[in-house]
Amino acid sequence: MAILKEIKSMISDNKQQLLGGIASSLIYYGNVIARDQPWYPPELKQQLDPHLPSNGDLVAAVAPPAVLYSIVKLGKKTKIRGLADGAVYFGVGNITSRIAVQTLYAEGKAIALPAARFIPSMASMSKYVPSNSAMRTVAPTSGISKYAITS
Amino acid sequence: MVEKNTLIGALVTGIADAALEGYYAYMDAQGKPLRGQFPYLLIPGAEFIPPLDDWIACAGVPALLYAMGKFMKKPALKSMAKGGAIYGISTLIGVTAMQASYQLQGRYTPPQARYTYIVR
Repeated sequence: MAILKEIKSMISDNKQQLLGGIASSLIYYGNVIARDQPWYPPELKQQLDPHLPSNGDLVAAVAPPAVLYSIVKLGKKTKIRGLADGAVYFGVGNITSRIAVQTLYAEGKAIALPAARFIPSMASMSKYVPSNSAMRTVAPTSGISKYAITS
Repeated sequence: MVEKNTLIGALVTGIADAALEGYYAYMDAQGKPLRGQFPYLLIPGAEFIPPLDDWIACAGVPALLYAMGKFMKKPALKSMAKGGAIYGISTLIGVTAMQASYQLQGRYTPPQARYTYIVR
């Protein structure tokens, strides 16, 4: 019972921080739900790197603490400092978690894909072909040379 | 001002959450989904409630930090538990809202609603 009392007092002391965290969380998961809607901007669905969450997720995770801290700093609104702190606590844990999960997913996918054993490269003109020959037609052949000049 | 220990607590809880979800995502990417296996378990009939792995990370880790702080008499650990609790409670509320929204829209069957934030 003493522990429950202590937890209750802890929550009431940090109510603003908890509200800041919950607000940030709802913004983040609201963005995840909105991702499947037709009006969602395609730029926000893209990723800067396969190891990073989508641009929209990054914005939704970083924006709430950044905006709240800007309001606190620029507007000298000390009353919402608790909200900003709570948003930072949620934001730091969330962004770390999301980047780690997306990195592990990307690594798992890279291992699961079969390695390319042979990647055909673009054929380049041999240095033995006269430089003034603008257009040449070639035909595949076997042996040392891969192509034979036909005209 | 952001307290260092509280921030560390939120980070530790986030890492624990990432470890459990990251293993799921890694196996999912390899074509071996762990859906329905421990600790990725949902309550049948109430699939909007976050699965067990979220409860372990988001409620278990802050509770563990708090218990350690209480019995070892270290206020720093209690402060870390506070950060973990802010992250954990916020995440659990957010995940519940997300899964309830999916369930109400009927867009996904609930197990597929897990980890929709992963860009596949």
